Amino acid sequence: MSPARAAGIEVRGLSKRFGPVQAVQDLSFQVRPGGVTGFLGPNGSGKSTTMRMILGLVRPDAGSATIGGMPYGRLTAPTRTVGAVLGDAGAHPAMTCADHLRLYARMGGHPRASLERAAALTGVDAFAARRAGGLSTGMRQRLALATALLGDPEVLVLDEPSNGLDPQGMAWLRAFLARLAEEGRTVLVSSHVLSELQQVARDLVIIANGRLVAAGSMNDLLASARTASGAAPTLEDVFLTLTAQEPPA
Amino acid sequence: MIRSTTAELYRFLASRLWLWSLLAAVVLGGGFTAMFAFVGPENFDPPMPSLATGEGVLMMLGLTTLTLFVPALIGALAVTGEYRHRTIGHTFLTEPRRGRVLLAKLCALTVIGAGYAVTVSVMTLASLYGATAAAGTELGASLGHVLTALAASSGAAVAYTLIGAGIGALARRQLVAVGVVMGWFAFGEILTLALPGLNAAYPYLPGGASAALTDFGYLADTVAAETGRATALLSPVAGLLVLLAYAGAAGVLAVATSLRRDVT
Repeated sequence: MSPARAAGIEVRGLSKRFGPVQAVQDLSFQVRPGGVTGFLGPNGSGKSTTMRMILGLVRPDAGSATIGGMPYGRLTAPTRTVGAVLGDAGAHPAMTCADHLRLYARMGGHPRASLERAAALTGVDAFAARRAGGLSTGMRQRLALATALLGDPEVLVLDEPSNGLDPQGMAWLRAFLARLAEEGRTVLVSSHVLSELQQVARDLVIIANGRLVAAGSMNDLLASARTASGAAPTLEDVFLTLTAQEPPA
Repeated sequence: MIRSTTAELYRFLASRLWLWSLLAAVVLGGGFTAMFAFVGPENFDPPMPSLATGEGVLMMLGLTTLTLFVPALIGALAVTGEYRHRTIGHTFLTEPRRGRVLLAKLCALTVIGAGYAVTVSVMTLASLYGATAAAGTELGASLGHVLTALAASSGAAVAYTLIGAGIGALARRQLVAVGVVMGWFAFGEILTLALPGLNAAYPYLPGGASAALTDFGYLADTVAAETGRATALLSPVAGLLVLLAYAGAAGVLAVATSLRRDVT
């Protein structure tokens, strides 16, 4: 697909508390189409919670998240609009990868050709007959990506898609994300592998302790950072500097 | 809704739950009936009426109601499997209206429960007629009576599948749902029936309602013999309605509570 103008993501004043923990606090940012937006933050900073609020899986205490102006739950064909990889989403261990994809293709109303395309794009076709219970972590990530792509969505929300991937898998994912963005899609991806993200992300959203600490283009954020040695700053330098300034909640 | 329901049926068939369900239906319907028919109810301890009598045949068929925890477990496992294997996120992303997800599961489990019940009935029928023919016993009930009794048991099995699904949707955790189903069958109903004051509620509990539907009040009769307190059951139709009301109530409660919880 080549969406001429994909939907963007808009997060406005999102807050969420789990018991005594303020997971996300008054968080606002936008994700533009046609590029990869890196979503960064230390462990426990609220990235996954924010992504799940965008996807309607977690109900915010305050604020809103919309995709193309609509909350996820009100999208008429959600998996044709948004594809998502959730960090720990699973598959039934007794099902083959083909069964898993067939199940969600049926549920989403996607034709067989979409299933074959998603499996081919992600390399799942090479192990489609294997049961999910026997997959490596990298294979599970590819299966999750294939599930996200079943509806050929214009928006992708990917929570730690590089987890468990080997160097070849990382290189493949980088090229894959770049291609999705070139096609005009909106791609929001969280990752701790900053060196990989630096090569593929156009924009960045950085949070710490559930609060926004920076948002903007990669180039602007790199340009605003300084290193002690005077060398060109890396994304890691930017990230460590910005998140170190943020006191714990 | 049709799309979601067929997807849920596909989920059941693609996992191994269908195989365990089929195995249970064959063993409980065919194996036990054949064994009981070969032994002969008149040789049980305490003895029951022989299969040469209408009462004996209907009591024999009524014994299948003692295995109604199996379809309840099938329903509970089918729903809680989504939480156990962490597929519920994918499912809610594909169909964000969570009430519809549960409704599709209940529609699919109605078909699955009916399939289980038909398998049990066919196996029971084949074993009953096969075993009695081999033993040279002439059944004391007509085929019509036998089919009517099996239809009532089948209705109870479908309703129990849905009750199990409702319990699964409420509990979310598979171990809790299985514990509730088994605990209720093993202890809950017997306690309710035996405790003075509480036994008046028995006709409105799942066991009492299924006993009314199948006209097989083994548990009520046993407790009445022990305690001297007889409990009157509802009519068969009222029994079926009570069972369906339990399934509906569990589903509505799940939509209002557990299904609204965050998927973290």
